[in-house]
Amino acid sequence: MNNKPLICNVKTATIPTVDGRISTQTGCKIIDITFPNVVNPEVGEVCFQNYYVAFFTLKAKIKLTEQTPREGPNDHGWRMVVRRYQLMPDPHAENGAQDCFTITRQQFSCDLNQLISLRLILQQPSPLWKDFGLEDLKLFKTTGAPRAPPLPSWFMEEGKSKAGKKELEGVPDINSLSSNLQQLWALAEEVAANQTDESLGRYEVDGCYDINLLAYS
Amino acid sequence: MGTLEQKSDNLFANVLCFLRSSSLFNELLCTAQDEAQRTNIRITDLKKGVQNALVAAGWDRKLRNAIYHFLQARLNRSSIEAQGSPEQIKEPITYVRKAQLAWEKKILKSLNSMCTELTIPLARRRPEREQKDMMVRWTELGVDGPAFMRGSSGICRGIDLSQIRPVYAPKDFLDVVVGMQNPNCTSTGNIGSSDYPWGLVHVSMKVKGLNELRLQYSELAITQCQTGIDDLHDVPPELFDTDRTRLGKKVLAAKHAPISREFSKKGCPVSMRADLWCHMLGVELDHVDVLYYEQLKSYVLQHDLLVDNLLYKDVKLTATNDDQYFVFEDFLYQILLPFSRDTYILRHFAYNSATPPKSYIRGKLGVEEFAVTYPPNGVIPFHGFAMYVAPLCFLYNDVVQLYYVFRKMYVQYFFRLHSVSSHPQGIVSLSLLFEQLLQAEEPELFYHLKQVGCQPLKIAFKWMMRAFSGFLASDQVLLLWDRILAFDSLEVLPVLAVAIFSFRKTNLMKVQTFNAAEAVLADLFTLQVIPLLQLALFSK
Repeated sequence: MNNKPLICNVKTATIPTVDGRISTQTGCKIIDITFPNVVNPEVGEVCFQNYYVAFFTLKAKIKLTEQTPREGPNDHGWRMVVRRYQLMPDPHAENGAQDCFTITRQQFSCDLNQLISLRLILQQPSPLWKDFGLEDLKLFKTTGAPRAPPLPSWFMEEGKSKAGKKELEGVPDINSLSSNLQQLWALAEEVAANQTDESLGRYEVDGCYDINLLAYS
Repeated sequence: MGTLEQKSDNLFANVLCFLRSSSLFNELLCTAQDEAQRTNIRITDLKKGVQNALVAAGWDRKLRNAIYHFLQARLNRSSIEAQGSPEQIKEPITYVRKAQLAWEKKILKSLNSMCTELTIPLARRRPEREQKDMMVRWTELGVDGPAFMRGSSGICRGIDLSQIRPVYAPKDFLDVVVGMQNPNCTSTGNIGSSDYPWGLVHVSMKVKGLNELRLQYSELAITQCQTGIDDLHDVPPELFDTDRTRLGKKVLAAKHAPISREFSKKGCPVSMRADLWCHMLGVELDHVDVLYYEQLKSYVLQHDLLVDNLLYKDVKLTATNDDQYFVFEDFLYQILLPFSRDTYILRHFAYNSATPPKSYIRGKLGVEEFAVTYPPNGVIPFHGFAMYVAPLCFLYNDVVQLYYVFRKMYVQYFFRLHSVSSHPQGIVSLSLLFEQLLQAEEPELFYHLKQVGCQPLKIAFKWMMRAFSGFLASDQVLLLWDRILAFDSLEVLPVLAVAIFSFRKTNLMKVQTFNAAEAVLADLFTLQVIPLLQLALFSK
């Protein structure tokens, strides 16, 4: 990650109650997040490690201003951001139960700015698991996913014909010569960067591989 | 930019990055340069001309194969784009990771105590004389063993092999798999269908059902002709064999991995198997590979490892005792000993839940610069390890080629059979698949065996852990492994195990003790793999 996570206040998960009674088997938990010390909080990415949560829903409460389009007359500013995002392909099976997830702006159904608070709704319909929740929850302002290195130009301009033609008259001028040299230099750099990962297969240290016992680590 | 688009961009970049660091890239570049310098190419259609020439020389096929194998290896590692720490990529589920760690520690302890008891080091440098002696005996190591040495007085000395014992056997590993329990799982009450109190495996991983398996293995359907059944002597060749051979020749000429894979789904004809497997695995030898093997061989000569004795003992206990494989004894050492020195194998630990054992050079305990992996390839052999190699000896008479095919098969498939992981191809999932499939297909048989105290997995586990090698006739093992390679999946192993139980059902229903059940299933050498698979998958 290249940027720092947002400072926020993550409340402990609560179990929704029915008629004031708490049932442990509701299969639902709610986590509220507020931003007491951030001016105009903006969220572009949510990262966490799953712990037996099957579905993940994200709701946001935003500041209602004059320009904000209202959704009906009783709009309190709640917006659905991510609806029932599936974290475990099968709630009864382990797969995906402890995977790391990054949910980015691309999965959000609306932009997250002018935030007041966020609400995470975690659902686990399977009674097989004693507990469920999220670990290592972090929010980021911008998408911090590693960008793909740009593709080389020859890859992109398939079929495009080169328009510019170079005229060669005797000795090339100093500009083209230097640019050629630069190209050569770039080529050398590129070769240096593309070292193969073929190893020499050495396993000993300084030619020595005398070992008595294995180490417990 | 959508996620999909970004992902595919990422993929392109990865493929390019991989290609650039491969030797293929340089070769391609050189050939392209040579082509470009030809006089018969006009400057105006230089690009096209060079491209055509490369295609004509078969470089596009090599490129396609390289990309195919790269993508396949990526897919193998994880079904989704894995995130998180390297530890999590190796194994996402914490308690599974802990189980594997505890298991590794147990192996280390047992290896250490063996060293202490026998007062031998794990590794030592061989004296010059011994190196020369071993070099002379390289192709007949089976006679005296690797630790043997003729002393100056002509008296033989060496480590007493009777004291070397295998570090672990399938039975020990089964205990680990059975003992796994999710601390977050509600104890085995009777909660609907997700609870399986009948079987031994108590983890709830997703395994395929019969219908999914039928779809996956649709080429094995009874209506389709199969190599290994329909090309036998008693079937007129014009029905199937002639066409199959003709098609096979075309496939071999194409040298393209996906085509070979598709063809092999119905089995490899004996004469074509060696080449087809090489294509499917992407094993293409060049002089560097030959050199590399020679280097590994010199490493074997340089150092004497305790692991050598383990391997030696294993071969003596398994392959040498087997009337099909004993002739390959010397061959096996020439594969297994260099294998233990091959640091290339260490790479597979990036996607294997296991971690290679660590040690320090003598006298430098705790100094990180002197930390080494032991054995150099990080794999401690278990009782039966040599059987992963033995069937391959029927296919290749060139040791070097045999070595690379085995190495590829190990890092692609076999390592999953002896490490605890939540991977759908891992031994835990395979065991679970076996139990669930047998329960679903033969409930009365499963119930009966369970009642008389004979859990089916206790018998089937060793079959699967060794990929049936040594349990079936060798030609049947090869037919089975054809399917592993062609379908790129180990799930065929539990399916076959279920089929065998199903096939011997009548006798098994009569047994009252574990030993009796084991006796019914002791001899599988008469079984025909493919009809059995068809029986299990498609008969009901």
